[in-house]
Amino acid sequence: MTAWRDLFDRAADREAETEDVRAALAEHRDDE
Amino acid sequence: MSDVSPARVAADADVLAADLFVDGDARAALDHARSHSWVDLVASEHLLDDAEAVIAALADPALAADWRERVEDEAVLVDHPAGDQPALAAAYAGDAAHVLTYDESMRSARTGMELKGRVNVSVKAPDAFAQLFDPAKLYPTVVGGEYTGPDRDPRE
Repeated sequence: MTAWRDLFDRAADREAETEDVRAALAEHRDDE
Repeated sequence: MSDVSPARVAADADVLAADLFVDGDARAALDHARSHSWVDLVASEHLLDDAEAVIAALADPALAADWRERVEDEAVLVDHPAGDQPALAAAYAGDAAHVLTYDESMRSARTGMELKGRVNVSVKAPDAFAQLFDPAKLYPTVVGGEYTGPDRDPRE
């Protein structure tokens, strides 16, 4: 099982912000 | 309506994904659950599907899959109809007292469900939950005894 710190480190490389997450979710739910 | 648990929380997919990507209020909120074995994150397949899709879109499918494996191992998984708002429906099915979301419009969805007498939850922004959730105050009633602090490493 992957440790949370490792998941967070890998995700941090993407430099995504909360607004990016919200936009991606809105787009995903619009597509459904 | 069944009794909700003050130690159970559902987070919408935006909060779940923001927890992963951003060292901010979503992570501070969900650290309450990661840090305490008696605080449960409630989720559903529909909810995790949404979050996994967001993570795959912003990062890659491998990270999304590893994240899902980890969350599924820790969360209380519940089922609900596909058409329901996933976080609210998961909270209802899992008797969670809290729903975390960045979506202010969920307050109106909550009102609609409350009118049907289905859900008795508190919909909060992650920063509010991070600040207001008080494990020391809840522990004596939820677990019993004196609170001695977190019992898990939230980064393990």
